Amino acid sequence: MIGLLKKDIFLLKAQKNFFLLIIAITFFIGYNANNSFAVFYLTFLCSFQMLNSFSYDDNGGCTSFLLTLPVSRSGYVREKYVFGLLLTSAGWIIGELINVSMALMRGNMPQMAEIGQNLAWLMGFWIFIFVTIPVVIKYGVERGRIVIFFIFAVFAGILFFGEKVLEQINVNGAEVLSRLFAGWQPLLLICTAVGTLFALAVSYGISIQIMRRKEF
Amino acid sequence: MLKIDHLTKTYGDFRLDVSMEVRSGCITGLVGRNGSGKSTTFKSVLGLICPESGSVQVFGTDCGNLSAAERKALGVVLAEAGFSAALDIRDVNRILQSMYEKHDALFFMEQCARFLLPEDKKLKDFSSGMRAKLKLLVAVSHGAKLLVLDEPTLGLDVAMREEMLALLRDYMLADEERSILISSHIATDLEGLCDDIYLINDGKIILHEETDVLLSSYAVLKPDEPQYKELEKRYILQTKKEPFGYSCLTNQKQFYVENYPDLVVEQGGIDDLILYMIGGND
Repeated sequence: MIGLLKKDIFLLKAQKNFFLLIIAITFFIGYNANNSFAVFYLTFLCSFQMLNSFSYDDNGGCTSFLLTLPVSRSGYVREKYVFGLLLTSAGWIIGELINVSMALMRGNMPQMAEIGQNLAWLMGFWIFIFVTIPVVIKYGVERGRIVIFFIFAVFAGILFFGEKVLEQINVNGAEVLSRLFAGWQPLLLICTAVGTLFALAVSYGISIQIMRRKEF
Repeated sequence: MLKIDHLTKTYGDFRLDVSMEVRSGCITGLVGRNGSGKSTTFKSVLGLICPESGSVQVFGTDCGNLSAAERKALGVVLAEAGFSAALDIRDVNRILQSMYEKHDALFFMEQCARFLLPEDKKLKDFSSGMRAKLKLLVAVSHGAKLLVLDEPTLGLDVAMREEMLALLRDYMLADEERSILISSHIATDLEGLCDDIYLINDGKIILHEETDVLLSSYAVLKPDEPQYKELEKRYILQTKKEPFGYSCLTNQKQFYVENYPDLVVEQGGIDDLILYMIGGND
């Protein structure tokens, strides 16, 4: 596990100039944007970067070689989840640090409620990587991107039509949710955390099953 | 050390059905044309594909149930796969240190320097020969008990191939229980290295012989038409029609040398063996 994590971190290191540039741009744009921009953008970028680690493994049959090292199939899958969680968390923390710095530069004190809201972005992107990992293991990065696009398109479609249906029956979904959790932001966070853990367990189980059957 | 018993795998019309063994302290070669089943056999041994039937035992354990310690006792070269091209040698060294307690980082870096592999260059900037050298160094740097080497000399020039083969001989000398399973399309590499050789064709082992026997007893006879008519055919394995007459592969060279003094008898090598056993006419 440590060896694989080092491998993925070294591959990230190869792009350090790109990351420094992105952080600088985030800082610049974030100064004039809303408070969530830096957090959203960096967490988003890191979750896609996690996908890139599969690209590196796909190129030149690297995955098959890695599995000839003291790395089990389940160990390989586990490392990808740990790497994805660490990377997106790192992106979120850097984004939050930028947010806080900018708030202080503007003479504002950072609000805990805001940080709590931003935490939802982190969990949202964790859900994203929980969906993408099994898909990419199953289909590879190139075909996987198409499948992921399709999955999220279907998801967006369901939300869109769901909202339309609720409108037809004169129910405002967003308002219902905000009423439900009004004054109960911790409850919302707990629900999101439980949902995220559930998604992790399901995704990990599927990934392990796919990996066990996969041939290289 | 490694035992394959009726391993089968089917891809469309191609069916692999292989039984072979790599004994402790021995170097075993697997030779055959492209698409004959060498890589499929290697992938099965390494658990990269799932066989339909049969068994593959590595260190006495089913290859699908190898413990972490047993996996650490394997060193592998795959012809078409290796570390990501975006890494450099220092990265590779650190990764190997994390994966193998016995990885000899000093030896690894010394050998990289000896073989002129730049430690600060990305692997994507390496030539195919440099990559082949690195793959072999990765496989031999943690004191593995069994090396599984699929085309380890691919992309190397003659001088470099000799150096790499010398490295493998040194590896074997360090511990008499070590073993190697190696494939190469360059038969001369195997002639000077292997204790025994398996010849695979169309997914099946068609010959297994000690290399010494192969080099001492196998020969190519070159009879003209009248000589061919008189020739004892019992020890002829394969025959090919040639413009001058025939060329015949035998595994009883001495018999023909003693009984047919006028017959042209050429030393048979593995290349001849492949050519006649696979490409010859009955």
